Amino acid sequence: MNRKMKMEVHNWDLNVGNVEITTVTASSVFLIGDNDEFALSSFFDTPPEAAALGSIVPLASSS
Amino acid sequence: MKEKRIASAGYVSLGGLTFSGIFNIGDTKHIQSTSKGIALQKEGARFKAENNINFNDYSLFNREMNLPEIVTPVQKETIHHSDTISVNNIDIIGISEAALFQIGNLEKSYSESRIKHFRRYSSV
Repeated sequence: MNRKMKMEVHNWDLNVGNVEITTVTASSVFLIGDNDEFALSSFFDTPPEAAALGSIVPLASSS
Repeated sequence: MKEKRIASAGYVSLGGLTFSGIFNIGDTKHIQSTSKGIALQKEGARFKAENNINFNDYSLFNREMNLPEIVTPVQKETIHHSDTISVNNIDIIGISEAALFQIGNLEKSYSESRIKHFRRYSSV
């Protein structure tokens, strides 16, 4: 016998007043509402400053 | 979800929607968005084809994702006591890189974003 979990959801009032966001990025979600399923993935690779060869902006020049 | 709720939005201000970003008011059955990007900082102002920048050269774009196995042996029953989702004021500067902003009902959402950022020096 295939047993399933039973879930009962009661949705009452959903009222949103004022929202301020700079950015929603890299597989992120901003949801006002109802949802069943999410699968979100993000890969981000950036070099640490310490590994950079030399400085980006030359601070002084010998010649 | 047997019944869907009504989405009611008052004022939304959105500055930018880029690289598979999604903005939706209302009902969504299934969303799938992917975004791949290489952010290159290099000396000089010109980016040419002979710079040879390819996604396949970086393992980040071929790596397996570690997503959970989607098995849902759940029988869900939703009872709506209020039939409206209401939003007054939203202010967003940007939605980018497979991101999603939704007001309303969403059944399934799948997003994938891969960004490789590096610097390249013309002489070391």
